[in-house]
Amino acid sequence: CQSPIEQKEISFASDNYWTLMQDKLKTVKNLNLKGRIGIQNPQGRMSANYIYNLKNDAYTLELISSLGSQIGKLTADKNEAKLIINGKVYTSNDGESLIKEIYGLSLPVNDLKDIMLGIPQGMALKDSSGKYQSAVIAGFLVEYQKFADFNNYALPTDYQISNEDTLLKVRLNEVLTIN
Amino acid sequence: DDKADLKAKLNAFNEFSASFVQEVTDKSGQEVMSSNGIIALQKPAKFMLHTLNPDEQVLFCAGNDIYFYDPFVNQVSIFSRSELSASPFILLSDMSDNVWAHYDVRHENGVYIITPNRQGDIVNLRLSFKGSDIDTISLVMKDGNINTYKLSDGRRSADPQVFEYKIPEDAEVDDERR
Repeated sequence: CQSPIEQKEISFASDNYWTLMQDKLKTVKNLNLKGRIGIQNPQGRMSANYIYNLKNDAYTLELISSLGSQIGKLTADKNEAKLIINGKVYTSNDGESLIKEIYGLSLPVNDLKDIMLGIPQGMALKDSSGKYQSAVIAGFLVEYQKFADFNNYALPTDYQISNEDTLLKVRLNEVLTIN
Repeated sequence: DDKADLKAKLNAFNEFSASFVQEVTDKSGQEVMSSNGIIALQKPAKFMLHTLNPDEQVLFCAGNDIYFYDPFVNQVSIFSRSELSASPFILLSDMSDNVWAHYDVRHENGVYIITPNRQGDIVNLRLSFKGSDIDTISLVMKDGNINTYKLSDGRRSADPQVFEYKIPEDAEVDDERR
């Protein structure tokens, strides 16, 4: 099994470090990330392990419970999205509308790649060094708390995505593939 | 009788603690999740499964209840001990017949396969021993995933403090007891 890329602190960032990094991140076509996601909304709270796999324009997002059972697996590409829950298959045009249909949750799933890479498109706020602090995407506020270096890619490791009644807390634990 | 044999093995000790490495594999054998932490039990009623990395989680028994605290969302879920599907680990510390009556036990190739009579997310629990010490605990899930805890540094004792866990005052309480 693949061993994770070593996670390092971003010790020194030259003036244009973040601008160059963001350009570099825009070229990423393959990702394999593992981490933790916590959801808090009026219905309650839960957390799960996630596995996010990207191959060009197709991605898979799988949620695993602490006991090891699969909570759900979302697979999507430019044409279609498919969600598997307890062996049942649901389909729609894209991931965002499928999650809305099945869970009643509107989440910025179609923008997940950019959010996870730390290059949110849309109204964004950067700090003085050019690093993204926050952004508004599909009605959600994305706030980045921490970044780390993975084989010369700077990725957000701790961030949250929220709107008026939903809070998603995301932690990146492992990067297995990034190129 | 395999159940009696297993209970005899589990009855051989009143206390037990070890480190664990957890690995979850999917139907194709691909690792989907891993973690590490400590496990401890003290008969008749104490049990602790404390996941430390990469994300802390705490599963323990206190009195007649099972507590699952998730610091990531600062929520504690409370189940009654009778809700065994909430935690099959309870079997390791509770030898009472009325608990074990809910399970069938088969011994195959050195592994004890414990199958709940009432099917839920967990198809069965598999225990293997190294000598007389628990070596591996596996949960075979309905969706085909297998959740394995590989134990190491096993000791026939448990530091009383291991069972103490202070849940923050502001934790959200999810009371699942009926």
